[in-house]
Amino acid sequence: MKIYFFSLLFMFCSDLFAENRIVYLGAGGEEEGTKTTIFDGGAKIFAKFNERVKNNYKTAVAFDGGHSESEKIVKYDFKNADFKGSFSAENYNKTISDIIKKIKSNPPKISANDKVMVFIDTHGAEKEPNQKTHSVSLAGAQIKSFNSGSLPEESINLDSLSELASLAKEKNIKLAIIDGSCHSGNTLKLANDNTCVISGSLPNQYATDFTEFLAKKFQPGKSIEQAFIEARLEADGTPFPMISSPYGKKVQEDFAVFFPYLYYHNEQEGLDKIDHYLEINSTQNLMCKREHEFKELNNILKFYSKFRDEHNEIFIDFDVRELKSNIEKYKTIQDKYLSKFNSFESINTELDTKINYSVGNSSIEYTNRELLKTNFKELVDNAKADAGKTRDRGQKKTYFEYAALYSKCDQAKNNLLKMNSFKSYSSTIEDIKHDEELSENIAAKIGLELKKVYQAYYKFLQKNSNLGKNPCADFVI
Amino acid sequence: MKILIIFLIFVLPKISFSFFDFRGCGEYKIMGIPKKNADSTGYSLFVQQLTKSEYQLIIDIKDELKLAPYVNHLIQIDAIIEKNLNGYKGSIAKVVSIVNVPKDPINIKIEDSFILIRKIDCQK
Repeated sequence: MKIYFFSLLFMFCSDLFAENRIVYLGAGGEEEGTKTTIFDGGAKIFAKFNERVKNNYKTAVAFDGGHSESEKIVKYDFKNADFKGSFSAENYNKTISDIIKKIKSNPPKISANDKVMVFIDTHGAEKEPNQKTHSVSLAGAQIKSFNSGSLPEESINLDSLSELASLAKEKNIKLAIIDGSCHSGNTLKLANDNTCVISGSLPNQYATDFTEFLAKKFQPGKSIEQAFIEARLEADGTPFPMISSPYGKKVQEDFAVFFPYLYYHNEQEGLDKIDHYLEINSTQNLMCKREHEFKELNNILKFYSKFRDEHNEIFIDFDVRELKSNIEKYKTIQDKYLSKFNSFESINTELDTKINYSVGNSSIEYTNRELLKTNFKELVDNAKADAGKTRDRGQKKTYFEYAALYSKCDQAKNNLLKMNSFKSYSSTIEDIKHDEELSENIAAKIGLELKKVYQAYYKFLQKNSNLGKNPCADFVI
Repeated sequence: MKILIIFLIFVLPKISFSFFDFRGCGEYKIMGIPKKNADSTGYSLFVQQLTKSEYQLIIDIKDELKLAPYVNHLIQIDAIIEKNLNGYKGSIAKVVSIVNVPKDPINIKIEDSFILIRKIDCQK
């Protein structure tokens, strides 16, 4: 009888402690000295949603730090949050470790079938080679570039959410991780049977305001998968939001052949995804592979065209001819640069010719390719600064020699650039930066049409197939 | 028993995080990014940056010229490590050769950061 009584009491207590949790994080890496951040609009929208679900979810907010108007949003719009602070490393760690502690506590305060949502809206960096996901910017320092984000000490590696994702799977907790930052497609690696991950872009793409559209679609009783599908269609531009549901994975896998046509260059904003893609795909083998993928892309478009005629009810204004024509147009422009890069194969021997440079006791061999790509002016400055820093006489002498040697290399680089073939190689790299035909304009048109096809194909798969456990459909707000 | 518990609490996590793939002194293929040291002279190779297994390996002044064209670019080098690492910090005694590794914008490849080529005895 006693055991029965205690079991009942324990079950009752577990229920009493059970909680759903939202963690809202963001607005790192923003310019200092201003009152607002570009993430404020999104935060206000999310706060409205948060107000509607305040009886079902407890909320923690770690947002901004140093912008007066943004701080007011945290203070006044998130009225019911039980934790409010800036988006510092300390607050990030606190909000996430609090959830982990609640899951691990005895009795658990967050347990099976409880819901946890981690919503991140900040700047994001490219994935580093040994990261599973990528890093996002914290408050307190402005980002250095849209590719590299902030310095390591001013950013947080989202691999640190792995423990939470594993615990969600182990304890059958419903976890949603929403990462709206640039390069956020990398975060999908955290997904598992209980963790749904939504991103604002591809792994190697800049994101814009998808999370604002998503938060607008959040409603009690609606799954985050449904909110994603609705928001995805309304969001503008080239970003390609992703979801880790089985249907999302299937569509995203099929759509990979379209991704090169979503890259673009914007010199003013320092956005440059197309440059590197063109340079590294200019070998004969990779160009052949690209042609093969283009054929595959055309087959997919043919399939969708037929598919649209058969399933008219799920397609919205989808113009396969316009999509095809824009992709062909963009491909022609990209091919022009690929051929140019490929033509430099004829000067490859010269590019790889090694030349010795020396000053005093210091000497080094550089290839012409190395010479053309190196920023010697920066190296000269660094060597001079190091000569000033060190007290060791031998090192001081070496650093001065290095500075002189780098200057000599810079001169050799300039001489090389006077020769047509090398000038052409170097100017091709520069041309990409200035070519307006590689701008966002055409990539955005392609992106917009692709969104319609994505939605139709996703809905078709949902209706006609069962691809297994779907944590994104199971997470009902 | 107490000593064993203290050992497990304090020593084991450090082993699992810091010595994940470094296997003593030797010649290695190492993947990382050479970057200017912010507070001191010279450059370091940053390996597995931003992870719990990050390493910073100081590049010897005599190898600086070799690595200069690859500053801030991901590369793989053949290098000799003659001294044991101190936590996540160490130094490269000699850069044998450099292999440039361009980033694949669609699918960045993940490779082991330290590949042991041959073991050598550590200098004391």
